[in-house]
Amino acid sequence: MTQFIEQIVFALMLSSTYALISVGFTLFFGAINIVHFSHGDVAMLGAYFGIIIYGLFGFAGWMGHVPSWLITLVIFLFTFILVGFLGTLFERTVIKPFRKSPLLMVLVATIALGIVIREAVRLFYPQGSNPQVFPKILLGKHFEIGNLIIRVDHLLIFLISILLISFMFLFINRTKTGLAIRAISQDIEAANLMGINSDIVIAVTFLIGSVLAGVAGILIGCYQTVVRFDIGLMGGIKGFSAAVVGGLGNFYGAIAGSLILGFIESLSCAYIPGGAPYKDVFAFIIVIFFLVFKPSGILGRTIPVKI
Amino acid sequence: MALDNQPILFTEDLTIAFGGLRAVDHVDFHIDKGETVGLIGPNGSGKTTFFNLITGVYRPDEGKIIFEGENVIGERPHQIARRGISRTFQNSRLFMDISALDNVLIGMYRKQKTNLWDTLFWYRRVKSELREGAKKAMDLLAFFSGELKENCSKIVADLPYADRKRVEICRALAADPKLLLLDEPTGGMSPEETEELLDDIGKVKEKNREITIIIIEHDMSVIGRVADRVYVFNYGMKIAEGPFSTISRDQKVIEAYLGEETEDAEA
Amino acid sequence: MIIETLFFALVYLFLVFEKTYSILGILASIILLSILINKIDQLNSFLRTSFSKHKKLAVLYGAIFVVGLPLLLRNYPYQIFIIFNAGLFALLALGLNWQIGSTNIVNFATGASFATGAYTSALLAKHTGLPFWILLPIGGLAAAGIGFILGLPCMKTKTYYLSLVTIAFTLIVYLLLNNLNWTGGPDGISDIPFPKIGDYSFGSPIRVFGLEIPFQANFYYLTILLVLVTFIVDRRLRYSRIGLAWNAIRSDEIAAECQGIDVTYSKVLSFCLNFFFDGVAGTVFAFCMSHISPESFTFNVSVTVVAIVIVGGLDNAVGVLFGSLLMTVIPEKLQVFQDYRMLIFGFLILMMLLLRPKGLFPQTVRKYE
Repeated sequence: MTQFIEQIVFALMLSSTYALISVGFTLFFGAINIVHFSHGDVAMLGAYFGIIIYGLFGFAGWMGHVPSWLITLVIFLFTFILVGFLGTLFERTVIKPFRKSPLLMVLVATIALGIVIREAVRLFYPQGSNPQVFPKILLGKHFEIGNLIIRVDHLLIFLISILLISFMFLFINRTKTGLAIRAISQDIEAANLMGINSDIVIAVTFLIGSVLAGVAGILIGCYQTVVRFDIGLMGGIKGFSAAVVGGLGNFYGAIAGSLILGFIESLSCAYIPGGAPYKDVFAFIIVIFFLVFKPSGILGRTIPVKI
Repeated sequence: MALDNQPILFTEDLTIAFGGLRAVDHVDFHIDKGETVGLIGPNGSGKTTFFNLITGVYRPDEGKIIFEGENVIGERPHQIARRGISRTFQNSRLFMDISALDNVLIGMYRKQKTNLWDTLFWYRRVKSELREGAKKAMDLLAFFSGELKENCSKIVADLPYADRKRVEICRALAADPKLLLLDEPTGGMSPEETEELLDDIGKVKEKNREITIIIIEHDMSVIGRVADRVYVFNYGMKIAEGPFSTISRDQKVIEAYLGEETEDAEA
Repeated sequence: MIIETLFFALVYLFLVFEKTYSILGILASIILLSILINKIDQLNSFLRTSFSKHKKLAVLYGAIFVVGLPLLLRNYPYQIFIIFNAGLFALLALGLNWQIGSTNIVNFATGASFATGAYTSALLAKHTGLPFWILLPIGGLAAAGIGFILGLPCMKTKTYYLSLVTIAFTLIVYLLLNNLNWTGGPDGISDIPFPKIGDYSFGSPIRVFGLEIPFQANFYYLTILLVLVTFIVDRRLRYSRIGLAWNAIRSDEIAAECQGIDVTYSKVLSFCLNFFFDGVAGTVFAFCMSHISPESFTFNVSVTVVAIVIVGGLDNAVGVLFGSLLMTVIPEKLQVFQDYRMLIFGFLILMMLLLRPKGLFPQTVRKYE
C-alpha cells in the first residue's frame, strides 16, 4: 500500500514535469498553429545549462562558500534567461520564416532544428555522447510518514512545476499580454487589426514556453540524475503526446494529458513485469491512438473547417 | 431505376446544422434533366453548403438527396462524383502546382479505367489512355479559348484569374457529367469576362443538350440569361422558387437582399 | 561528351582519393563546375541542347560508366561498398519521393520499413532457409503490409499529425527491435548467408577479363538493377492516373475527392508502394551485411532519407537520385565530417527549406507528346 502511494507521488512528479513541456506545445499550437518539434530539445538545453552553471560555480571555487540554495536559485535564474533567449532565437530564425508556408514545412524545419540542437550538444559538449551526471541541487533528504517514504526533492519538483504552471495560467488569463496571446490564437489577423503586434506577442509566447521547458529540463535532470543529449527527442515526443491526448490548444488538456501519460508510464514501469523498457512504447501507442481516432483529444473540440 | 419523368436530382427536408446554426434548413429542391436552375441568396444563406451536401462533402443531419432515383446520402464525394456529378468551387480549388492540362486530365479520372496493375505491367494501355485524355483535354480547353489551349502546359498558378476559372470549368466538364454544379463562376470577373463566360455556358449547353446545371451566382444578369428557374435561399431556407422574372419581384426576396443589390432585384 | 567524361573522371577520383585535401579539392572543383554551368547561360544551353541531341548516346555512356565503375574500383572494395550504399539509399528515397514529393505525406517511418524488410528476410532465412531470391519480394511485401497497417487508420488524420504518427512508429519499431528476444535484441541477427545464383555466390569476387573485382560489386550490380526498376516504376506512376491523383491530393484533398479520386485508396497505395521498395532495400542490405542490428534502423535513417528527398527535389526522380549520391558518398569520403553528418543534414534541410524548398531539381511539368 505504501509502495502504491509512493508510486502515485512519483507519477505526480513525473506528470508535472511533462506538463511543463506539454503546456508549451499546446501554447504554441494554440497561438500560431504549429507543432514545435524541437521543444523537447529546448528542455534538454535547460538541463545542460544547469550542469554548466553548476560547473562554473565549482570552477570559480565558490562551491563551499555559497549556500546551496543560492546556487540552486542562480542555476534556475540563469537557465531561465539563457533558455528563454535561445528559445526565442529559434523561433525568430527557424519558425518565423515559415509562418505563411504550409504547416508541414514548419514541422520538418523544427525536426531539422531538433537534430541540429542535439547533434551540436553531442559534438561540442565535452564527451557529449555520454550521459552526464546532473548535480544534486535539491535537498536530498526524505521524510517518513509511518512506512511511507517521501523524497523531498521529488516533492520540490512537483511543487515548482505546479507553481510555474499556475504562474503561466495566471499570466495567460489575467494579464494584458496573456489576453493578446489568447486573441492571437483566436484570429491572428483580427488581433493585428486591433493593434496587437502579433510578432512581439509570438516572441513572448515562445519565451514563456521555452523558459518552462528549460526548467523542466533542470527538474528532469534532478530526479533522473543523469541526462543525455537525446532526452529531448523522447521528452519532446512525450510532452507532445500529452498535449495531443489532452487536446492540442487546450491548457487544461495539456495538464490532463500529462497526468495520464505520467501515470501510465510510471505505473506500467512499476507494475507490469518486464515492462520497464517498453514504457515508452506504451506512451507512443497511446498517442498514435489519439492522433488517429480522436485528434481533438479528450478535452479538445474539433473546429469544423469551412469548405 | 430512374424514371424519365422524375427529376434527375431532388432533395427533401434537407437539413444540416453546425454548432447551433442551421446552415441548410429543411430544403426541398428539384431539378429535371436538361434544366438550368439558378441558386441565389445573400452571403451565408447556405448555397455553397447545399452544394457540399449534394456532393457528399458534408453529411446532412436530416432529409433525403435522391439522384437518378437513388438515395446518395452517406456516399463519399468520390462515389458521388463517379455517378456523374461535377462541381466548381467558389474559391476555385484548382491543383495549383501542376499544369492546366493535368488539371483537366484529373477531371477525367473517374471515367478512366487503368489501375495499378496496368500501370506497372501493361503500361502501354496507360500511355494510350493518357494520350487520348490529353487530346480530349486540349480540345476542351480550345473550346473555351484557343489561347488556353496554347498555354495548357503552364502551371495553373501562372495563369490569369479568368483563365483559371475556365480551367476549373473544363475540369468539371472533362468527365461528361450529367449534373454540373457551378459555384459563382463569374466571381471576380469583369463585365467583358462575364459576357465571355455566359457565351461559354451557352456553348456547353448547346454541345450537350442533356446536361443539367445548377448555378450559384450573385450577378443577376447571368442568372436572368441562363436560368430556367431560380431558387432563392436565405438563412438556409428556401424562401422563393420560380422563373427569374417572378422571383425578382417577390417581396420576400427583395427584403432578403435589402441593402445589397436592390437595383438588380428590381431588374 | 567531354564534359560527361570530365564529370565521371571527377567522380571516380573523388571516390578513390584518400587524403582530405584531395577530396576537398575535387569536391570544390565539382561545385565550381556546377556553379559555372548554372551561371554561364551559354554553357548551360549548350549542355542542354547537346544532351537532347545525343540523348541516347549520353545515357549509354552513363550506363557504361555505371556498369564499369566497379571494374575501375577493383582495388578499392570499400569504395564499391560506398556506391552500393548510395544505391540503397536511392531505392529508399525514390519510394519516399512518392509520398513526400507527389502526395505531400511527410513520412518519417523509412527506418521502420527498411527494418521490416531486413528483419523479415533475415529471420526467414535463418529459420526456414528460403533462398534470397524468394525472400526479396517477401521482404518487400512484409514492409508493404506494415505500410498498409500504418496507412489505413491514418487516412483521416491531418498531414502533420500523420507525420508525427510515423515518427512515433519508427521509434516504437526501434524500441521493439532492441528489446524483443526473437529479433535478437541489441545484437541483432548474424550469419545471414550470401545470396546465390545456382552455384555462384554473391560472396565471391567477380572474375572478368582476367581481373578480379571484390564481392561487394555483386551487391552493387543488384542494387543498380533494382534502382533501374524503381526508376521505371516511378516514371510509369508519374505518367498515370495514380501519379496524377497523388498530385491532386497534394494540392487539395477535397477537390481531389470531388473529382472521383478515392483519396484513402491513393494514400494507402502510396504507403504500400513506398514501403515495398523500402522492404526490398532492407532485404538486400541484410544479405550484404550478413549481420543486422537495430542500430542501422534508427530515426536518423528516416531523417537522412527525408533529407535526400528534400535536397534532391520533390517529385523529381532524377533529383532524388542525385541527392542520394550526394548525401551518401560525400559524408563517407569526408571521414573527418562523419561525426558531423547528422548535424550537417539538419542544417541542409533547414537551408533547403528556407532557400529552395522545392529541392535542387524541382518538379517538372508533364509532357504528353
